[in-house]
Amino acid sequence: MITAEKLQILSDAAKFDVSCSSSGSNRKNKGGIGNAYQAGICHSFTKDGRCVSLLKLLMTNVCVYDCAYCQNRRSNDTPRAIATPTEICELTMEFYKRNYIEGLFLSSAVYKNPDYTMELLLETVIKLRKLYGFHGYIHLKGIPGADQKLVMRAGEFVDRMSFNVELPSEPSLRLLAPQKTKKNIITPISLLKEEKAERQSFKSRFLPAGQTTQLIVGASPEKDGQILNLTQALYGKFALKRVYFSSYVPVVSSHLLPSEPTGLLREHRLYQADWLIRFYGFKVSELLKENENLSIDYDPKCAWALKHPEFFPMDVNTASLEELIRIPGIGIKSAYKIISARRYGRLSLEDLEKMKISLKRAIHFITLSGKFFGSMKENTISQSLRLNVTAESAEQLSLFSSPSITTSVLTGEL
Amino acid sequence: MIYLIDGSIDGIFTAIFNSYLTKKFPSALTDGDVQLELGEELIEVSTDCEKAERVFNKLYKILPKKEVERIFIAIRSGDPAKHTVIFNYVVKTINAGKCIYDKYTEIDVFNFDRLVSQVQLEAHRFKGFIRFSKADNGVYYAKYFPDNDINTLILPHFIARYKTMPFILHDLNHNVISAHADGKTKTVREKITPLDIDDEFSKLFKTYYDSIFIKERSNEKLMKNYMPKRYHKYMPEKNELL
Repeated sequence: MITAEKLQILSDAAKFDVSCSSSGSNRKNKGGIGNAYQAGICHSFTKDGRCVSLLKLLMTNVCVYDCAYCQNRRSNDTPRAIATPTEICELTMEFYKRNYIEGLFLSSAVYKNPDYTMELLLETVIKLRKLYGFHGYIHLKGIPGADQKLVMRAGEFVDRMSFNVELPSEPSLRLLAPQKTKKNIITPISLLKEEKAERQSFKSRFLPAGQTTQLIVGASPEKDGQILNLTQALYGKFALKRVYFSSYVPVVSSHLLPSEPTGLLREHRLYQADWLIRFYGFKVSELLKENENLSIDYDPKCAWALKHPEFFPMDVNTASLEELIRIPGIGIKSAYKIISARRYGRLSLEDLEKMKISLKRAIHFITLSGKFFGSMKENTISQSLRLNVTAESAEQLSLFSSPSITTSVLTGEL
Repeated sequence: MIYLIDGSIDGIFTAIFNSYLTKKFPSALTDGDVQLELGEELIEVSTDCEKAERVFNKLYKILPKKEVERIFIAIRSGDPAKHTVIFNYVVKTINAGKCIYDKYTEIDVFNFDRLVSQVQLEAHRFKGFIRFSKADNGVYYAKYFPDNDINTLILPHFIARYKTMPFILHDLNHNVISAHADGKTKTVREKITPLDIDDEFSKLFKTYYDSIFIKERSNEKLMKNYMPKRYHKYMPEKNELL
């Protein structure tokens, strides 16, 4: 069995990988241990408020690369460890049987070379499935530059794979992660997408939960507009399920990097915008320009609404679902409730209150059967929409996971 | 007027039958001690399965099966007002003569919907928050303290994933214990002393939990929003003694 010390090193080394989700797969238990749960399950929450769903581990943090931002970079003086495939399998099984986790998230530093590392990762997941009879969730990180055959083979055994884009532009990648190339990251993402589509046509299981990726925000000079355009392109071109943003935290000092952390608010705003792109029908071009950052004071939907008075006020009794969700303060859950309730009759302000729909922001943007209850004063409106620091800091990172399963299923968020 | 019932779903449905018969509708239902207002009448309802069944048959004609099943989820609630909430919702539905499950502007529908959501949310949370410990005889044992009577609601989830693993799920609040082994499952309702098992992996999991925390992003308030303190009692990662 793995020692506590080794586990400590290898999980600490994996903690900046933010894709914690265990959703999107419906793998069944075929006589062994484990299955996947479509909406995902959070088993715990760390003291930073993030969901613990998977056993998130590096196989090793011994790395031949020297990426400037990474705590596992070769030149960093940090304790190193290597876990064997058997150690990883045993730990996964023992944790899973105690309901600590939904499955395994396995990543690795580049040990010796990409092929060698990928082979060990592949060996581990095959062992876990075949020898240990594990049918729970597996998220495997791909090693850029590894042989395509190894990558494709892994896709047959795991639920989700991810290759990290790492940085929002090629020049930044060249500067900060000189041993990684855009080609080595994008090629496998593209091939996996094609393979999944092809196999789907003859119903062969391949990456049921698809692919995700992650990039660091604030380590390099790209603006939010550029980051979100990249994000939108990744969803469109490669059918990614999620793009994760990791707010830059200085873990190693380097003259190439900022000395201050980026802060969580920027990351939070990016996730809000990402949500608008994926579920609210917004295009990035509606929210901001390539060379702009998102507003700090207002969430992206409020900022958009303030710039577009021509859409408002909107009548709650006649607006479509797509229109309703563009109203500041009205989320998908509330919009569905409104659509349901108004089938029984016209809604009044009291009705919305009875349904416990929050009107603090929305009130300035709606009418009910022609009646307006909000303020016409720009000052009052912008004040009520402005960032409330204490309220929002409690919400920060809350987009990592959505504990309310019913809405998630309803909206297909996950 | 308040109805005193036995707390079962048949009790509530008998009360509904009696109300339509007498054309008198209570202000509340209770299954135990109740503080009566001055001049308020308490009527005891003796459960009658035939009466209850007639109400059920009526309901099945109005509601799709899925909606009737939500009533069986609602009855698991630990909310002392649940009998009244279910009573009012069913009466509203029968009066409407159609399914009004999403007429959220109706307070009785709203309250019923919230009751069901609370049970479902707790069930979902415990699918994640339950912790098993391995006993010396190889059986995995979990105790927990839910607000709602959800043991048999979440049991199928664990059976599906732990097909080949003997386990026990022990609700210490409602005194329900379910055991699964060799493809068979049994549930009993009685007070049994909970087990204390020393499991070496609980310490290892705490090590894991502590080391994936990013201290630069500390936000304990958010952690507690998602995982309120009342769930921490049987979680090894929240056990300061480990």
